[in-house]
Amino acid sequence: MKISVQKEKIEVADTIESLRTPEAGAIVTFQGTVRRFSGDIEVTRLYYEAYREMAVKSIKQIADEAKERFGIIDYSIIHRIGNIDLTEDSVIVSVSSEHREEAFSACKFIIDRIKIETPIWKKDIAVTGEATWRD
Amino acid sequence: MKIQVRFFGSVKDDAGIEGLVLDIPQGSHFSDLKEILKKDKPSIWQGRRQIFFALNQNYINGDQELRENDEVAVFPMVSGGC
Repeated sequence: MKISVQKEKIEVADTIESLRTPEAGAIVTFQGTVRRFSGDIEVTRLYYEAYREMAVKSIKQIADEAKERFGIIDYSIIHRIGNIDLTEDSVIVSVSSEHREEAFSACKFIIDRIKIETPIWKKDIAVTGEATWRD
Repeated sequence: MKIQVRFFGSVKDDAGIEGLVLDIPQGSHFSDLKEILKKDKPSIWQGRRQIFFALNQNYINGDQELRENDEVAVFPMVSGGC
C-alpha cells in the first residue's frame, strides 16, 4: 500500500514489481504522461503543485475505497510534482488483484477520482514561455 | 484564536502570498473566516467560477466551527492526474 506525492521521477518497474505476490493473478498499471498538446497550446513541460498533506490523505481514502469496493490485494500510487518534461510520467496507479477484472476496475476508479478530488494542480508551460494554470 | 490560511495553485498567485495567519474570535465559524477573506483578498474571487476550501485537510463540510490552530486551505478546481 504505497502512496507518494513526490518531486523525484517515478521508478515504474519498481512500483509495479512491489505488487508481485503469490496471491495476485493480475497487476494493472495506469501511467499518466506529459503530452505535447494541451488543447491548442504546445507545451514544453507541465508544472504540478500539490497541497501535499491533503493530497496523500485524499489518495489514501480513494485507494482504500477501491480496495473495499473491488477487493484488490494491494496498490501503489505515485503522483509527481514540480516540473515534468514531455513524455515523462506525472502519475502512476498500479493495482494487484486475484483476477484481472477487479484490477482494471479499481485502477480506473482510482485515477478518475484522483483527477476530480485530489488537491493537485497543473500549469502548462508553453513553447512561447507562457505559463497558464489549468483550472 | 489563530487560524492558519493556505493558498494553492492559481488562487495563491491571485492572493499574492502562500498563506497568512488570521486572529479571529473564539467560536467563529467557517462562514466568518470566508467573509474576512472576501474583504482582505477579493482578488481570489475575481473571474473565478468556483473556489474550494478545506479544513484540516478535508473538504469543508457545511459551516463548521473553527478551533485554535485550525488550517484552512483555499484553492481552485483540482487539475492533477494526466
